[in-house]
Formats: sequence, C-alpha cells, structure tokens
Amino acid sequence: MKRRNPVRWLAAPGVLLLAVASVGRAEAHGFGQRYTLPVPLWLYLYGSAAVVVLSFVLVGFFVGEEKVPGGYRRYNLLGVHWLRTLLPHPALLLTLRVLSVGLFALVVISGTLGDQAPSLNFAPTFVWVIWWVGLGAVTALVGNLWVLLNPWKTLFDWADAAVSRMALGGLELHAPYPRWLGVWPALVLYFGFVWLEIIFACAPRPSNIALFALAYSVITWTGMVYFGRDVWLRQGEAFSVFFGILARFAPTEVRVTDSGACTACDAPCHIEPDSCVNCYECFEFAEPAKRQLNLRPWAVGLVRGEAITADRLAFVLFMLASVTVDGLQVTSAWLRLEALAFPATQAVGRWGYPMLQTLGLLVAPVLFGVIYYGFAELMRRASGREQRVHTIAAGFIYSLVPIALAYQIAHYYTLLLIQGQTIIPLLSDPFGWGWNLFGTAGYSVNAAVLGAAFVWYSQVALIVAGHVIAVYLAHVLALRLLRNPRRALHSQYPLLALMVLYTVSSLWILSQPIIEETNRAGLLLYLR
Amino acid sequence: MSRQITFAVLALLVLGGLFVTLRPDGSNAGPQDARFNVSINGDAMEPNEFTVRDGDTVTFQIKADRELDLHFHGYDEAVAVKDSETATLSFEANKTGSWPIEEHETEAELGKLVVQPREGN
Repeated sequence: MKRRNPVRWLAAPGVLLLAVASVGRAEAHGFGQRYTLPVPLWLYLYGSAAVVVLSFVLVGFFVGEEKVPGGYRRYNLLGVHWLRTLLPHPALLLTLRVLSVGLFALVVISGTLGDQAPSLNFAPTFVWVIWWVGLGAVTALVGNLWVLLNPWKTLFDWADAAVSRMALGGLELHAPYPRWLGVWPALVLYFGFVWLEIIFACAPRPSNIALFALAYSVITWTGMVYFGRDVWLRQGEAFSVFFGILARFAPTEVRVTDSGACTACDAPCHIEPDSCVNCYECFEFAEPAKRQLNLRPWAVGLVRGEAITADRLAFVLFMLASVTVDGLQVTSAWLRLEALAFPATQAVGRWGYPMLQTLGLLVAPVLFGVIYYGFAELMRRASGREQRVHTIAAGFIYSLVPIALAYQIAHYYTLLLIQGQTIIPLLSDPFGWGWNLFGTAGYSVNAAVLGAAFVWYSQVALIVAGHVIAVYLAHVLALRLLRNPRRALHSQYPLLALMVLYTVSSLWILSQPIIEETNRAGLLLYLR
Repeated sequence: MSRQITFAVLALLVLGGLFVTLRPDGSNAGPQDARFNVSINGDAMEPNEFTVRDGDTVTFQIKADRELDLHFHGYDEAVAVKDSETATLSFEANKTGSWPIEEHETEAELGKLVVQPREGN
C-alpha cells in the first residue's frame, strides 16, 4: 500500500491558519471586528444547568393547568388622543418614507461612487450592521417598522401614483399568483441574502452592495408589477416575510376590528372572531375607527394559532438553521472541521471551498428539519397519536423562534453597539472622500463601552430568557392543539429536550473563541 | 398556587447555589504588574498574545527589526520603536476585551492584548 505523505495532510490546516494570519494583518480594522471575549466555560455550564432546571420548573408549573390561554391584554395607542393625531399623520409617514428612500439611494450611490474600503464607505456599515442587525432587533423588540420604511414599497407606490395620474392605469398587472408557490420565492431570495452574508467573501465591498441592492430592486419591482404589490410583499419580498416573522415577537400589533374589512381586502389573513392582526393591507384600507395600534405582551404573536403551511414552515426552519450556522461558522472548532475538508475542496478548484460552504448552508436546514420532524414524531407518540406529524411540526415551529432570536441578539448586540458607532462619522463622510457634513467625521469609536463581564452575563441571561419564553409558548400551543391537558403535557417532553439541545448549542457557540468574519472573508480571497 | 411558589423558591435556591459554586473566586491579589519582552521580526511578534486582568499595569519592552509605530487598539496607546533600541510602553489595562495590537502605518495586526475581568473567569 502506498504510504500517505503525512506532511501534506498536516499542511492543510497550516495553510488555512497561515491564510487567516496573513489576511488578519491585511484587514485589521476591517469590517465586523469583534473585541468581546467568549463566555467562560463555567458560565456556559451554569447557563446550561439553568436552562435544564428552569425547564423542569416550568413543566412543574404547568402540571394540572387546564385552561387554554385565550386572548391577551392589549392597550390601543390610537385610543390616546395625541397619539391618534400624531402617529397616522401623513407628514410623519411621509418624512419616514422620504428618509428611508434617501438612505436607500445613499447606499446605492456611495456603494457605486464612494471609496471601496468597507470601513470608509457608508454602504457596508449601514446595510450589514444598522439595517440588518439593528432593524432586526428593533422589529423583534419594538415592532414591524419595515412595513413603514420598506423603500421598495414606497418607490413602487410613488411610481404607481405617477403612472395613475397620467391616466395610464396602475402599474400592477395582478397576474394570478399560483397557490403552490407560497412564500418559496421569499425563501429563495432570503437564502441568497444569507449566502451573501455568511459565505460570499466580497459581501462588505461597497460596489457589490450597490449591485445587490439594484438587482434585488429589479426582482422586487418585477414581482410587484406582475403579481401586484401586496401579493409580492406577502409571498416574494424576503425581508417583509422575514421581518414579519420577527414582528410576531414584538410587543406591538396593528389590528383591524372589523371582520368584514378583514375578508374584503383579499389577503389571506387569519381572522379571529371579529378582527385580524398584522394584516397590513387590510389595515391600510380599513376605516380609521376600526384601526388599532396595540401594545401587547412580548411573543404572544407567535401563538396566534393559524394553520401554518409547508412553505412557511420551511422558511422558519431555514431562519432557525441559518442563525446557528452563522454563529457556528466563525468558531475555531468549525474552522478546524473545514480545514479537514480543505484538501478535498482544492481538488475541485478555486470554487471548491465556497461550494463546500454553500452545500453546508443547504444541508444545515435539511438536517435541522429532519431532527425537528424526529422530535415532532416523538411528540405525536407521546400525545396519543391523534395528530399527523406534519400538523405537530407546523403547529409548534414558532415556539422555537424566541431561542433563535435571543441567540441572534446575544451574538450581535455588541457588534451593533460598537461597530454601529462608525455610522456617526460615516454620515458626515458617506463616500470616504474626506467630507465633514455634520461635523461628526472625526468621531472615534469607543470600543470599550461594554465590559466583558457585563457582556457575558447579559448574553447568558438573554439566552436563558429566550428559552423560558419558548417553553411557555410551546405549552400554550400544546393546550390549544391537543386540547386534553394530560396529552398536552406529555407532548411537551420531547419538545423540551429539543429546546434544551438548541439553547445549549447557542450557549456553546457563545463560549467559543471566534475567528473574525473579516479574516474569513479574506481567507476566501486568499484562496482565489 | 403554594406548590408553584415552592417550585419557584426551590429553583431560585438551586440556581443561586449553582452560581456561587461554579463561579471562580478570581484573583484576590489585586492589580498586578505584568511585564513583557516583545520582539518583532518582519510580520511576526513574539509573543503575540498577552493575557492580563482588568486593572493590571502592563509594561511592554519592545525590540524590532525596523522602525515602526505600534498601536494598541481600544486603548489608543502608541509607541515608536527604533532600530535596535528597546522601546518601553506602560499603561493600566482597565478595559476588558480582546484588543488588536497593530503596526500603525499598515494597520497590520501583529498580536492581541486580552484583558480578562478581575472576577468571574
């Protein structure tokens, strides 16, 4: 037998590390640099133990509880006189929309014309940090601002109004949207976006961001023209679907208290006895007296109890899986795994490595789905085999969202608070041309705003809180879906095990030393 | 209801007890002086990772094979190193985190200063 050359095999991880080291040098101060320390081992163990203990405590709380939780307390902000005047005021809405369209234009223009160093240009920080991380957090913790701010929607509305004024009819062709297509177009586009975020090496490059924004505009407006604005926003606009799911966690909702208006606006809204929630098209056209903007407890929007279709289930599964992959792939443990596969990918050529990563991003949600369905089957058996496994899988999927959300916020909030500060100088000098429009160009980032210990404790607290909320939601869903409280309780044990597994892996990721994203991005460049 | 209260109290006790047991005491000795002899050859800094605790006074004695300005990110401390001379930089490491040490001109990262919290690690 031919002897393998051990040096070659050992050299592969070496090449990777060398690449990481040399790129780290070239791109220090680059994009997405993190200064935080990983959660220490003892705190990771403590967090995991707390998750297990609290899970049992919650189940103990639920034993013997039979009442299906129904509605929740709401407070209508539009019932307050000055808020009713201020919030729906056309001037306020127009200001927000002009601002949003202006920022969108600035991203495209600075991306195209500005300095191409990611840290000197407005586009990368705005898109990847402020908008993606920041607006995501705001959507989940406050409410769905994307409905108001979406620049593609606003620009389409303006164009549509202009065309209508010229008496040419509207822009929308209203082609019938095939039912089977569901939210698959949004999922495909969202996959593309996540691919850009975590795999495409040149994603922080300003000109690429401008290019993606324009390409996405073409797709979005084509969809809006062909199928109609609202249909595309519901089924094809990846960010409307994505932020819409996050907004289910939010403590605000818009509600139309008129079932007639809810059925008339042809959106497939889930209608509660006499109202519909976060059904934005209906809200837009409902009479002012029938509109509510409610404060509500966090996370209750995740247990609305409507039927969840396979396409939507797939979307949420991909969200859950991609959040994990995003965190996992910056750990050194993952990099060591990749180093093992590295020689094989080189045989394919220079695309081998990104192809391997892409494969990973495709396989991860499938794997995630298989595991989830396995647990759903266990739940079905534990609860008396009355439901189909798909009904169980679809019925409980939203209960996992708080775990992913808590992880995402714990993982990214330091980036938002530190790297996010660079938007202050960038607003004064968006093109990197040495301007100082607002006198803030000289602002230097305070990278030490957060102490390491505070970051650790807050991260673990967030993750544990996310888990507790998830377990509670699962309990509510079980009582509603399975009706019999005993069965509901039994169905919880497999799901609880899955939730512990998912939460503890989030904690584990936070306890790992990370290889900075800049280095990874550069690593791929180096490999080309 | 009383069962639920018992549950909650027990859980709090277990979690509190676990926290106290697992949490390391940290260093009781108070701030230390940490001295490092550093040499820079080409792109390699030896050693290239320095771990101290919050509040320690760090002193770097640096030799390099060329003239360069070394920049401690996050602290905004800098030191000019001349050929064949030992440069000294000393400051109090009072910001926790993992901070890059860079060559000022090229912004190349040569190493890291890791400042751990005094307690809880």
